[in-house]
Amino acid sequence: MSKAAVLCALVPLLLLGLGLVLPKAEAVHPPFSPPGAGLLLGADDIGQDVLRVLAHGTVTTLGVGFAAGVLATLIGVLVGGSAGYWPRLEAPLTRLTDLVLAFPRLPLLILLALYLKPNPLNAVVILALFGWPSTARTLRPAVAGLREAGYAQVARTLGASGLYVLFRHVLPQITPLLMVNLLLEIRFALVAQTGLAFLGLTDPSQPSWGLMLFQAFQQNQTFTTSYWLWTVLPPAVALTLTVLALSLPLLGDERRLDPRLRREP
Amino acid sequence: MFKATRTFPGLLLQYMGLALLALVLNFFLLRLAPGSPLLSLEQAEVVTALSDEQRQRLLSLYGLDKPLWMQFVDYLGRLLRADLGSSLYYNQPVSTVVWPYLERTLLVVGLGFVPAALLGLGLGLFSALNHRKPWERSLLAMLVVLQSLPPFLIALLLLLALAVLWPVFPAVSTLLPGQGPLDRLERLALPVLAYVLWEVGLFYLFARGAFLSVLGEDYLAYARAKGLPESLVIRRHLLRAALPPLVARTALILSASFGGVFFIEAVFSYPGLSSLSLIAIARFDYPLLEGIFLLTLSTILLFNLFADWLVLRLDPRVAEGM
Amino acid sequence: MSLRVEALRVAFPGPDGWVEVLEDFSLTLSPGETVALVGESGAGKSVFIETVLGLLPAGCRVSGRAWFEGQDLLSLNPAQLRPWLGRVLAWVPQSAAQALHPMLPLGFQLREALEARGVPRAEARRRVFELLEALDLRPAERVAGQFPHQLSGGMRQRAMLVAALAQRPRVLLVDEPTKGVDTERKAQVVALLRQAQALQPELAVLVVTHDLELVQAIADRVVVLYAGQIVEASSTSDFFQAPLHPFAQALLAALPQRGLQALPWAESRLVQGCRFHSRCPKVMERCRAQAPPLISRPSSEVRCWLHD
Repeated sequence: MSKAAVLCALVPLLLLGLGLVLPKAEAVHPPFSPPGAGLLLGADDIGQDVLRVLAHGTVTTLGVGFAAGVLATLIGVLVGGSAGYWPRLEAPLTRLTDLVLAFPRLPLLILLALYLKPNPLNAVVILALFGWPSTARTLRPAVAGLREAGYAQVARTLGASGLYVLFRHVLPQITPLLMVNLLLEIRFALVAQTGLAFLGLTDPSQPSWGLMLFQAFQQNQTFTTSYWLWTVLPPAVALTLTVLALSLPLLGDERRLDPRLRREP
Repeated sequence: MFKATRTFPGLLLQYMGLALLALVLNFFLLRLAPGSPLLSLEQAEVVTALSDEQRQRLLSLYGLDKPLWMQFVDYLGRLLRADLGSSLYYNQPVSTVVWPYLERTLLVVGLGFVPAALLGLGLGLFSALNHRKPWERSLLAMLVVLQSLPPFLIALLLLLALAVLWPVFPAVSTLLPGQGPLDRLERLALPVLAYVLWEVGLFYLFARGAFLSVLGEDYLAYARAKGLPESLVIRRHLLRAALPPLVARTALILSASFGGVFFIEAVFSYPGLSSLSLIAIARFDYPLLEGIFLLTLSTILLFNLFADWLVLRLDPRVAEGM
Repeated sequence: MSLRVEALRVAFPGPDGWVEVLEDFSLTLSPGETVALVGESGAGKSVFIETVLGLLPAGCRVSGRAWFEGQDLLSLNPAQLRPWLGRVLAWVPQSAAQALHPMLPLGFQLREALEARGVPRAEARRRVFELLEALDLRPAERVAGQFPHQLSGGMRQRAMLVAALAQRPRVLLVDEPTKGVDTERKAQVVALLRQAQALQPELAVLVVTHDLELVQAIADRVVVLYAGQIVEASSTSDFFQAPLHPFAQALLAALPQRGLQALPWAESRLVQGCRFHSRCPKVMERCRAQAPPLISRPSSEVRCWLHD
C-alpha cells in the first residue's frame, strides 16, 4: 500500500518542484488555446499557461495543506497531550475539544472565510483551528495510558519537568499514532482549502487547485468543448492523487481500522 | 457527542449553549466582514448618486444605522417571533426566498440518505462477519479509498465520467423557472448518486468497526455457547449492542451531509442551498446568509441532540454513568 | 452418558510456526462427578473448554475426539455443534460481567435459549424464576427485569449458574470461578457449585482453576496440566495426601516462594526432554534428554520418570 502511496505522491511532488522553479504565469497566450508544442497544458480563459498556473497552484495548495496540518497536529498534541498527562486538565480540555468538535465545521468555515477573505496565511490558521480536535481526541487516551509507565515515572522522580517528560518520553512512544494523525490533518486541511477555493471564497489572485476549478466552472464552454481536458482534468487528477497518497498509508494501519480482535490464549 | 452528560435536561442545556454561541458567531462575524450591504444595494438599484441623507434613510430602513449590539438584540427579538428578516437582494422575506432552495437540497439528501445508509451498514455488517477473508480486504480497501475522497471531488469525477466522457446525464443540473427537480429526474440523478457514493464509505467504515468490536466481546461468544442459533446471535445480540453507536453516528453523518451536499450542489450547479448562499455572499445579503446558516446550524444541532437522546434511551448504562 | 475426550491436540499459529497448546489430552467426565483441572495460567486449562465449546479463534489446529452419546463433538461444524451447546455442555465463563449482554434485561438473557429451543415462554419463565429463587436471587421477578450492570458481582455470578442450569445440561464447564474473589465470596462459590449438583444429581462438573482450596472443597478427581500436558491425574484425596509429580508437589507446597520461575508459555513448550525439568528440584539426567510418557499407576496416572 505504501508503494502505491509513493507512486501517487510523485505527480503532486513533481508539480511542486515545477512551481518552485517556473516563473509566474502571465496572460500572454491566446485565450483557450489547446495543448500544443511549448504549451503543454494549453492556456486558460485569460491566456495564462495552465501548466504554470497548476504548478504555482500546487505550491499554494500543498503549502497551505501541510502547514495547516502540521499546525493542527501541534495544537492537538498540546491539548490532547496535556489532557492525558495532567489529570487536573483532563476535564476542561476534553470539554473544549468536544465543543469544537460538536460545532458544524462547514458553515463556520464559510463564515470565517467570508470574514477573513483568506490569504494563504489566514487559511492556515483557520484550517488548523478546525482540525486539531480530532488529534487531541485520539491522543488523550494514548498519553494517559503511558503516563504511569515506568520510564515516565523514573524521569519524574529524577526531577524532570512535566513538559520534558511528555515530549521526550511519552510522545516518542506513540509516533505511529502521531504520523497517522498528521496525515489525516493534512488531508482535512488540503481538502477544505480546495473546497473553499472551489466555492470562490479564497483570494482570487493566489492560484490553487480549487481556484482553477472555480475559474473553469465559470466558463460556459468548459464542458461543451474540450476545454475541460486541460483546465478541469489536471487539478482534479492532482487532487485525487494527493488524497490517495495521504489515505493509502492508513490502510496498512490495522489498528485504526480493526478495533480489538480476539485475544491470545 | 458529550460523554459527560447523562440526563436529557443536561443535554438540552449544553445544546442551547452551543446554539447561542452559533448565533453570536453567525451574527457578529458577518457584520464585521468586509464589504457593505449598501454596496450591493447601489449596484442592484443603480443608485450611484445617493445623497448622504438618502443613504442614511436607506440604512435606517434596514436597521443598519444602530450600534451593533442593538442590532443583535433586535435580531434575537425577531428570531423569537420566528421572523428571519427579509432579504436585501430579493426584497422578500428570507423564509420565502430560502424555502424552494431548501426543498431542493432536502430532496437530494432525502433521496440519497436512506440508500446510502442501508448499503453502507449492510456492507459493513457483511464485511465484519467475513472478517479476514481475502476478498474482504479488497472490499475494505475499495471503500477506504472511496471514503477518503472529498464529496466535491467525487461529484467532479462523476461529472467528468457520466456527463462529459460518456454523456448519460446532463452536466449541469440547473432548472428552468417553474420546473421542479422531480420534473427533470435526469438532472437529479448525478447529485444524488454523488451523495450516495460519498456517504456509503462513511457508513461502511464505521459500521464495520462497530460490528467488529462487538464481535470480539465475550458476551457474543457466550450467546453462541448458550446454543442460540447464529441468526439470533446476530439479530439480537450483535445488532442490539452496535445500535447505540450506529444511531449516534448516523445522526452525525446526516448532519455532516449538509456540508457535503453543499459542495456536490456547487459542482452540478444544482439550485439548492449552496447556490443560494453563494448568491447571498456575492451580494452581501446578510439577512439571507444569516437565515441560511441559522437553518443549517439548527438542523445540525437538532440532529446531534436527537442522536444523543437516542443513545441515552438505547443504552441502559449511559444514563447511570457506567 | 459421559463426556470422553481422547488424544486432544490443539495448536495455535505463532510467529515461528505452530505452538502446541494442548497435547495428548484425554479425560473422562462421568455423571455426578466433579473434576478439577488445575495448572498455572497459560497451561492450557481454559483452551480445553474453548475447544469443546467451539470457541477457539479461527486458524487453530485441533485433532482428537470428544465423545458424547456416540457423537464426536469435535467433528461437528459450528452450526452442527450449536444444538449440543447449552443443552448438553453448559459453560460458566470466568467473568460474568463480560459474558452478559449489557443492553438486554437479565431475565430475557436467561430464558432466550430455552425459547429458541421451543420451550413455551411461560414454561421458560417459570423455570428461570425457580432457579433464581433457589440460588437466592430474590425477588426473582425484580432481578429478572434488571440490566446486568444493576446487579452486584456476586449476583451476576449466580445468574450465570442460573443461565447454565436452566437448560438442564449434562456437563457443566466452569472457568476459574474464584479468580479475583475474596475468601468470603469463595465460600459462596463452593456452596453454589454444591447446590448445582444438589439440584441436578446427574450433572458432571469440570472446574478449571488454580485455586487448591476450591479443589479440595468440591472435586472428586484432580487433573494437573503443565505446559499443555497432563502431568498427573488422581483422586482428590490421593492428590492432597501423596502427590506424585514434582510439579504437583511444588503446587501443594506453594513453592513459588522458593523461587519457582515460570517460563513464558510458548517457550515452555519447546523444551527438550521433560517440560518441567528446568524447574524440577528432583531433575535427573534422563529428564533432560527424554520426555516421559503418561505412566499408569494403580489408582492414578503421572508423567514423570521417577515413577517409571
